[in-house]
Amino acid sequence: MRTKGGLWIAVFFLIIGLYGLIQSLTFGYWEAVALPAAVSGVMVLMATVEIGKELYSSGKGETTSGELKLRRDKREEIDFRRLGLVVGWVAAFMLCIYLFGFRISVPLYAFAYLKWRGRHWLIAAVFALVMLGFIYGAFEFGLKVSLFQGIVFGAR
Amino acid sequence: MLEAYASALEILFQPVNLLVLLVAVISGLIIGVIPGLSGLIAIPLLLPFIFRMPQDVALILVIALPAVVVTGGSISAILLNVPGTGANAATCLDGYPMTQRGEGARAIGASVTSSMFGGVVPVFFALAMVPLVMPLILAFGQPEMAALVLLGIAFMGALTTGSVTKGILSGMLGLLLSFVGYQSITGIHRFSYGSTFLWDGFELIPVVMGLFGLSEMLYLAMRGRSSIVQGRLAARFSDVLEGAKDVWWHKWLWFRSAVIGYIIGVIPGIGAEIAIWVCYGQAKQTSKYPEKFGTGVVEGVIAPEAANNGKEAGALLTTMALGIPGSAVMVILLAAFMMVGVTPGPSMMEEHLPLALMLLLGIALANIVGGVICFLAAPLLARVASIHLDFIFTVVMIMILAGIIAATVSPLNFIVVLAFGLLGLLMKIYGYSRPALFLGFVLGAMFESYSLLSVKIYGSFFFARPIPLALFAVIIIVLALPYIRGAVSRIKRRSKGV
Repeated sequence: MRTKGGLWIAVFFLIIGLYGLIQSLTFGYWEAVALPAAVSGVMVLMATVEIGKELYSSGKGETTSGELKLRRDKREEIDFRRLGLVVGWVAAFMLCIYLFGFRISVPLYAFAYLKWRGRHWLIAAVFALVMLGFIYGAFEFGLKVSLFQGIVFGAR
Repeated sequence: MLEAYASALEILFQPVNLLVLLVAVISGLIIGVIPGLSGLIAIPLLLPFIFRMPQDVALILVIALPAVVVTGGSISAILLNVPGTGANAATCLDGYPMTQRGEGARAIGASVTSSMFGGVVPVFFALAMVPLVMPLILAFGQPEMAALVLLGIAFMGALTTGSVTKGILSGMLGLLLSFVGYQSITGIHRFSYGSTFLWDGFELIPVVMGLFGLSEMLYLAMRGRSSIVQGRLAARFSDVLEGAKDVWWHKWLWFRSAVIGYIIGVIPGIGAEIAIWVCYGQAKQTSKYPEKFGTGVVEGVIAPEAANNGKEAGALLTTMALGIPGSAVMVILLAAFMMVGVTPGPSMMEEHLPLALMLLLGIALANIVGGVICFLAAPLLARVASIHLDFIFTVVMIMILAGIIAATVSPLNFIVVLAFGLLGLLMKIYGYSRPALFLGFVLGAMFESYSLLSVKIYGSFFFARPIPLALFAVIIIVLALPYIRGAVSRIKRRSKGV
């Protein structure tokens, strides 16, 4: 067996393919069914092959190119705890924008993230203000797009 | 045709367009110098801005920036032994040993000159090819276009990963995602579950931002390197000219490499990452002193740098003429074209020929401007590589989320970008092809429309025509090639008794 992660992602593709196949058969018109069903069918087939490869391959490396090159090395460096923290920061930033809008969230996020990463508070504060100025200048002045104000302070 | 060339030059040399090109080139060089960042991150960040710009300005911006990213990337490869992009990896082999010997500035001179002319000359090959390919692409109807889309996904899937099954799975997932929402032919909603948010399907910008921008950022942050590069960076201008002379002394090597890069660029799905190694290999094989490669010979810098810039013109020609992206970056460019109302493919060459020629000329001009800037400011650019990852992460995250809100309406797209960011990250880690997924997503609606129209016009066996049959044969060859290659190497091993 190669890796659990590789197997699970193949299973994910299989589930999506099966779901797509079952769901597409309910669309009624052949024009609506044909391609989603065909595409899902190919996905199911390929995902099954991939699961088989993950389960029964001898663990030898594949001939690799492009994105896959150095895959093994990269996989060893993955720190899932760090990934959880980073995704947490991204999700928190999104929630903050949704609640309070860009004008508050951008400097707040920039300052808090840099402080969390151990930067001096003055550097973090200056960077936060620069980012606010950049976003405000680029979108409000440059593109004439009013930035989202968040649900707490009303719509855009 | 000559009128089209004249119009192209006229559009390109408008002051606003020249200014935008300059900004794009400087941004591209900076992004290239910073290891870990590439056109795959930069172009998605530009998309929210371009849909409010005039068509020509928007397209110059998205074409000039990636054209010089690899030129910037060579500076960090040579001075710091850290390739700015994957397409600069081969440059490290001889560039960094030259730096260690105190010849870093010479290596930069050679790399910048090779990149600059390597990016310019293939543009003229592409311009010369346009009149030749026009009759062929004008023969394409609906069945041919449907087969072309499949060919593009097959190329992109099979050649950007090492596994055919993973490549096909990626492309099929992209196609399936493109079917979400309202189908105009039948008037029904598919996979939208009564949600008004999904009625029009997933929006392009959150998908591309998540799949490429956010996933790359998560990947960089997750790997845990807090600082990309540390060390003293220096390059003297006086020695840079010495490197430029080296390119003249090795002009045939440079020319061969640029031509090989161009040809590889024309083939869909094969990126600069492959072109550089092919050219490095041929430089070594044809050298009088192959054993010295890897110890700091200037030919080892000239060959890959000519190839990685040379492939851009070829990749752009394939993207514009056939609608099949020549590389991963071109997949995103394809989406950018569509956002500003230009659909790449035969119709683009017919309806927007001056624009298409202008973009090819734009690549040449971007390379010249980029080369000049690198000559003058290489040491300054090299310092950019030491920017701390925390700042890059903060800036890119803010740009992604602000861009999504500016370009779309619903904050629900935050969930979409996060979901696609995580999906893109897993695909990158486990060797699936994000470009194939995105290509399937972008071309899915077009593929469905061409296929259904073909069935209605020509019947169920619409593909039984010469061009679609030839294209299907190519698809089968592309998909079978890794297995054939594997079988051949097994037979060779067995015959050697290993």
